[in-house]
Amino acid sequence: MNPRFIGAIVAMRLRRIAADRGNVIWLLVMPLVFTFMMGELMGDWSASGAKPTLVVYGMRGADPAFSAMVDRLGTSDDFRVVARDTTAAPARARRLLEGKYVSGALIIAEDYADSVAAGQRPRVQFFYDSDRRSSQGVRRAVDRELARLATRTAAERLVDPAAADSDPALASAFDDSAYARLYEEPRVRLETEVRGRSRGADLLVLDDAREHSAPSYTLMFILMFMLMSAKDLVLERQNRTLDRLRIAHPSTGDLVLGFFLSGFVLGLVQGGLLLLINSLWTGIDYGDSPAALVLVMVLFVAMSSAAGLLLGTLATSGGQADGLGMVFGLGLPALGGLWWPLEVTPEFMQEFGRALPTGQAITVFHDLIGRGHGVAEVAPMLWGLGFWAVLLLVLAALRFRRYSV
Amino acid sequence: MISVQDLVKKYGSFVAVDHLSFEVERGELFGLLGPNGAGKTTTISVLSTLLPADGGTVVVAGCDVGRDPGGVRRRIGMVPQEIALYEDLSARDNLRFWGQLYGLSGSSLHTRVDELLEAVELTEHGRQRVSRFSGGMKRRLNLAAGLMHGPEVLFLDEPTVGIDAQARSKILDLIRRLNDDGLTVLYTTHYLEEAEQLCDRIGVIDQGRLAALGDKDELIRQIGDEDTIRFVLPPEAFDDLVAAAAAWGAIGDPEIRRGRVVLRVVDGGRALPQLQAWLEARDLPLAHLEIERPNLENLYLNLTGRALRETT
Amino acid sequence: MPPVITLVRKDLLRQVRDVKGLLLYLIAPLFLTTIMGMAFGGGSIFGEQRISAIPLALAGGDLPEEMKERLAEGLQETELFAVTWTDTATAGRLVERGDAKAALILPDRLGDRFFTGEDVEIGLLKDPNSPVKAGLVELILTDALRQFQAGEAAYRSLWPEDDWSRAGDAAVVYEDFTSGDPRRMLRALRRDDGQLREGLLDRAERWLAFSDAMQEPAVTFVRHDRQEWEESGTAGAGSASLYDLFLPTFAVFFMMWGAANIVRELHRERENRTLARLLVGPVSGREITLAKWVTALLVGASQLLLLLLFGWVLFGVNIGHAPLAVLLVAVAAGAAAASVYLVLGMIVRTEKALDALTTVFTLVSGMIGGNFFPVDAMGPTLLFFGRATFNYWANRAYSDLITHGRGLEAVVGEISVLVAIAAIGLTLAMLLFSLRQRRGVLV
Repeated sequence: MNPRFIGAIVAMRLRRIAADRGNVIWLLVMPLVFTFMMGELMGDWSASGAKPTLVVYGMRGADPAFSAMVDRLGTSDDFRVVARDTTAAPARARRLLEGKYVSGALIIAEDYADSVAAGQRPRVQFFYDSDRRSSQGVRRAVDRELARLATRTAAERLVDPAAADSDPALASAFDDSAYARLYEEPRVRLETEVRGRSRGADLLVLDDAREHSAPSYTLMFILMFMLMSAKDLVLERQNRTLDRLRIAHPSTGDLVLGFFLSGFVLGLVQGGLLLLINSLWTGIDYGDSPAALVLVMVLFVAMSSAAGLLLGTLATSGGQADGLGMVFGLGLPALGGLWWPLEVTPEFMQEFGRALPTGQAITVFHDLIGRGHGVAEVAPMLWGLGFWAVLLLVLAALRFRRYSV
Repeated sequence: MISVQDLVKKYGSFVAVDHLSFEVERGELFGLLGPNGAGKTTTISVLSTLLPADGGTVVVAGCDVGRDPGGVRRRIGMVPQEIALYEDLSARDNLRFWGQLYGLSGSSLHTRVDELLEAVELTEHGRQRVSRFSGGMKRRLNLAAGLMHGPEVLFLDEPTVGIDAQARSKILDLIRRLNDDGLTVLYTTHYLEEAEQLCDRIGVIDQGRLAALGDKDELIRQIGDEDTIRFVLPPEAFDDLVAAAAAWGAIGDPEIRRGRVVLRVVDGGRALPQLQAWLEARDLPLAHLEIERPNLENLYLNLTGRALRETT
Repeated sequence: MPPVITLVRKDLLRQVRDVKGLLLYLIAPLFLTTIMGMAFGGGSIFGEQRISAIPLALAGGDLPEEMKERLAEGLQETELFAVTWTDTATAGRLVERGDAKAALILPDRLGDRFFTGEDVEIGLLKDPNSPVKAGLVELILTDALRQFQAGEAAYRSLWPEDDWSRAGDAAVVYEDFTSGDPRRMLRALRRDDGQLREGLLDRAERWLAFSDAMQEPAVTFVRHDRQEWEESGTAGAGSASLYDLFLPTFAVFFMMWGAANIVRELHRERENRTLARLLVGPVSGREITLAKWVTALLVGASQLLLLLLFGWVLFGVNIGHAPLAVLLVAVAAGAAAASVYLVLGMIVRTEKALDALTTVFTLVSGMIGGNFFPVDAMGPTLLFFGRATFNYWANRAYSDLITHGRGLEAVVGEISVLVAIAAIGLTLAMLLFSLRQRRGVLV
């Protein structure tokens, strides 16, 4: 082994990458843009900042119970309520939903209060969009309050103080405050506990989609850049600089190591910067095990560098390297669960995804972030990544030797 | 056929062509000779309507390139320095495409493609992709593509760059034949011998300016008719030589440069026997004799200088 | 033959002969489409692939085995859950390892607690790495408990004097009575000391009255989900899998790359000087621009349609009920893409610069224009930016046609926007081309 020769190759390749300022777009800008945008989108299905709106039409006809319900909805932190005295046609509510102006619309009948008083069944229409997360949230709150209102109104009709003594099916009164207390403080409770890592009082879970998107797009763009760099090797072959290198130093091993390490160093710098920026920017905490974090990054970067090298030896032209690079650069992240959580795919696709290096790496990240696992717990996935890195590097070296002869 | 008067072309503050003027007669093979970066390609680009001129007038085949570029384009053929072909298509597909663009179709297109493939000796390779061609084959096809529509004037921009002697010879033969058939050719090159062998007249261009113009003999005459004789002479005989040389038609006094006598004479053929006789009479040897006749290379180097020109 | 057709023919011939290009712009999308089809449950020749059931652990409680089995069976029959009964500690470990997405920890004496008015606390353990599936379990449970809670609160607010400690007896009697087993009811009453009998009868009467009141809600609530009203107004596309949502947007995304590649070809021609050769021929700059536009349109639209066809044949993807509209949107989208990329091609000087510009442009447009998620899911801010991208309108149109099963009339607006973008872009590209030609920048 000739460290100087290897070092020279690494330095030359890194200098060439640094010389092209456009590379910054692929190395840092695009991953950060993707992390932010996809984190926002997947997290809320809507842009951040704007509070969803629930519009209520026909408040003029509402009775006190309904008004109280609207007031309670208005105290929500998750959405704002706009109450209108006037009524509206269903078509208007639909247009508001379709245009994303509101996340839910309630229309109550103009004679709502009168109907309730007359013991009739007034009509309330609720419009929402189950495709939108913000609308789903509004729907849950409205459902909860409507169930309360409906139950309460139905119950009140069983009240007849005069006849209650003689008819056991009637009540002498409806205890409104008891109802409110019982509804707000249910006897049957669901105590939810997230079995994950805790930091102080806050439980850290992958509820913030950026905790998925930050490691995902860091991994994806490391792999993509390596695969895109495969074209450089093809061009070096075509313009004969590779031959020059071979003549300068005939050891294939040194040549392979030089090319491999240049990608490896670059990937570590890129990955390190992205993880750091994401941590500072969005406050993502990568878990309690720095050793596991370093190991997964080192192994993934090594695998990516080896994959790029192998692709460079397989492709016969720059165009082919581009084509194959795109197929694998998008295919492996998609299959491995970097684009969407693997849990939404069928079982066999989950198994397949976790056998891929992208699936293994993101699983480790999830286990570090969500479960607070350490090296021992994520060891099987790390071994898997190591296996891929070694396999691809050996294949690349074999191809290199064959190609070099 | 081509008239260039006071042509100026600038790229920002850089003047690529600086008040260039020359004429090319119908049926003439005119060479534009100059080093890299002299302005040859810029000139040919303006003449072929690719670049607008910043000054002067250019008329090609009776059409002003500024006012009637369409008229010029219909009458000219262009062979760029680069292999301007679709390498992923076959030779036949390429020629057919260029022919169709010029309105050829059906049997006339087919016949013209066959004719040109034969002319450039590529008939057997017509269905092969251009990407598989050798450099020489590509150059020949590049030339053929410029001839598909039978132009009146052909612009050839260094059409033999980067090919071997045999391939170059074939291309030069072809150009000569085309010219013999009446085609007006404007040929740019930085190869002196090509211009010397091929062209009826040559314009030497340097730094955008025309440095010399004429046929080969006229150009040579521009650097004078004298021959130069160089030889080694014992220093003690030099003064006698200075006295004798005037009788042999010497121009000026002989000089000693780098240990050798440099004698410029009107006619080297006549002066040399006299010099030999003079030496024999003094029992002196004639050592390291060298006679240099005036040539184009001297002219070229005198005009364009000997320093390397680097352009980026 | 008009020069534009000759130029287009040449470009198409080159595309067909470019094996690497085909690999990049056709095989790669088909490959990725196949992955998505398999990942998101496309049907047809690969068989229907469902999203896997949620692994749910049940633990705790002292329910009889028979009850446990019935509960597990009931949950499994929904096909939503894959249920495992275990002890509390194991359930916790299963969730911690991710082997169960959620665990329900039931308290002891669950039945008694329910019917005697005691507090009931049901534990739900969630996998931190399963926002989707564990979240769904929580949602279903919360909904069910809310219904119960509303009813119980109403009952107790009407008859607070009812003795909940004896409610279990009353419930048994009521259940026997309503399920039509009078013998069990009579046996229970025979054991009664008289006071209970009266209380039970009153209670039963109240239960019946309350139950009737609850089943006939005092207010009629009608919920309208956007999906339902859109489908009810059309032939009803009945979109079933995520693949149906993603295939059109991915097809549009790959079409963008295809169109960009054709425009890149213009720069390659400039760099290898065939463009110079064309410009000294009898072809105008407008014709050259138009020819590239037509080629990009044809290649882009065919690529888009081919991907939709591929998804339809192989995975049974829903392609709506208006094939003509699907075709028209493809053509309009191809035209808009061709124009937009031509303009981009005209504002840079080299192929390398164009490469960088189109890549960034395509990825960013894809992201904000709804190629990586359903357009229906875009929030107002994103929509504001998204509408500025041409691909949004194509995605929107396919969402209407395919996801919502609408017809041609529903996408006339989107097609018009795409056509307008195409026309403006093409005009601008032609102007820029002639401007650059005049300045001699193209050679």
